Amino acid sequence: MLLSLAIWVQNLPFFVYLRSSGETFPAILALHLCAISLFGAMIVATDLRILGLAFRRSSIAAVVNQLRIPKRIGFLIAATCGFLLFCSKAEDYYYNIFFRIKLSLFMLVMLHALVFRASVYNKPAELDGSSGAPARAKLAAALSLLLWTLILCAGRAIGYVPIGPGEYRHYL
Amino acid sequence: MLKIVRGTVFDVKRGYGPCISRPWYCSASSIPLRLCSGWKIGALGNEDARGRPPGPLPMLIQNSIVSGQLAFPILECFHIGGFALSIGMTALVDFRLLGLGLRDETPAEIAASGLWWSLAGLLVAIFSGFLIFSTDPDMYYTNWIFDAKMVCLVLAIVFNYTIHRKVLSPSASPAAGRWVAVTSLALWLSVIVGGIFIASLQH
Repeated sequence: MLLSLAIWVQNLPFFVYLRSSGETFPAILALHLCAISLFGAMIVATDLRILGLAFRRSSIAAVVNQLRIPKRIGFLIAATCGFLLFCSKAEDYYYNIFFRIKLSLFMLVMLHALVFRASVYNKPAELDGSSGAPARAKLAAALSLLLWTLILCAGRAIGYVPIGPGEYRHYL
Repeated sequence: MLKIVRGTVFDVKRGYGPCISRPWYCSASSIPLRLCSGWKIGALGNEDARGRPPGPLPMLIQNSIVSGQLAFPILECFHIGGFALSIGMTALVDFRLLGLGLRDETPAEIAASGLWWSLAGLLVAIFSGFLIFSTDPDMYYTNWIFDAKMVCLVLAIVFNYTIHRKVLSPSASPAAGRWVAVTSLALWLSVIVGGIFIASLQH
């Protein structure tokens, strides 16, 4: 059922144009990667600050609160580009194991946000203790760094699974 | 240099050399190797097993470590992680110069905090970039988009350590800071865009 939905989406005229054009597809991929570099580094900066490894001049509350909106805008841009890229070759991505891994990692990231929202991200002012952030916050930051790094690797690996007639099942 | 044209798999022309072992990018994996007509190779006679003629760069750069199949994706992950860290830390300073992001700090403070991370990311990106280049030297050497990317990279680094540094001092005007921030972002982002378009150039 999902497969027929994917095939229907990728045959819409706009997405047919997108995957066949030699310039637009790389342009959207480049925008995706630019959004990742600009705003992914904000995620890394927030996590490093919570772990106490970077930006030690500013308080955790300042870093978390001020980067929150840019991070969301960046995520929106990256997710929109990713959605367009997915729709243009939906069937190939449906079979691609690394795309499935990447989606599962995104679910884990959302789970991580839900789990740590109440204790860490909604109360950044309480994290500024004399000896750094509490252990729970550091755990949240470390997990976040790990998950986003794995998402980056999975995203890069998407392009390296050979998709051919009859062979893809071996790579699932 | 001869153009290499991929032979169609349904075009059974004997006399054209098939692949000795199936490359990872082969899209004809359902055709058994012995039936596949492989790549049309030119008449030079000194093409490699994949049918590519030797290029202008000597064999010195190619090495067995980065010719493995897993090397390229792993190197690219380090490359992307490195430049994401580096460009992101610089972008934090640029966003502050434009009045967005970490507004509690002065741009000079943000630059000082992020300096070592940015440098470390840049070194990782450049080192993995060298290794990526060595996986296929001739392709990159003859690619004009790669040359453009390198020019943008050098411009961005030079700009970062000269004009960008000057505008961080408290005596600089905010308008100059905005122009410098926009230029810096444009230079670094054009490096990324160039990197993506390298692969889309059809030789």
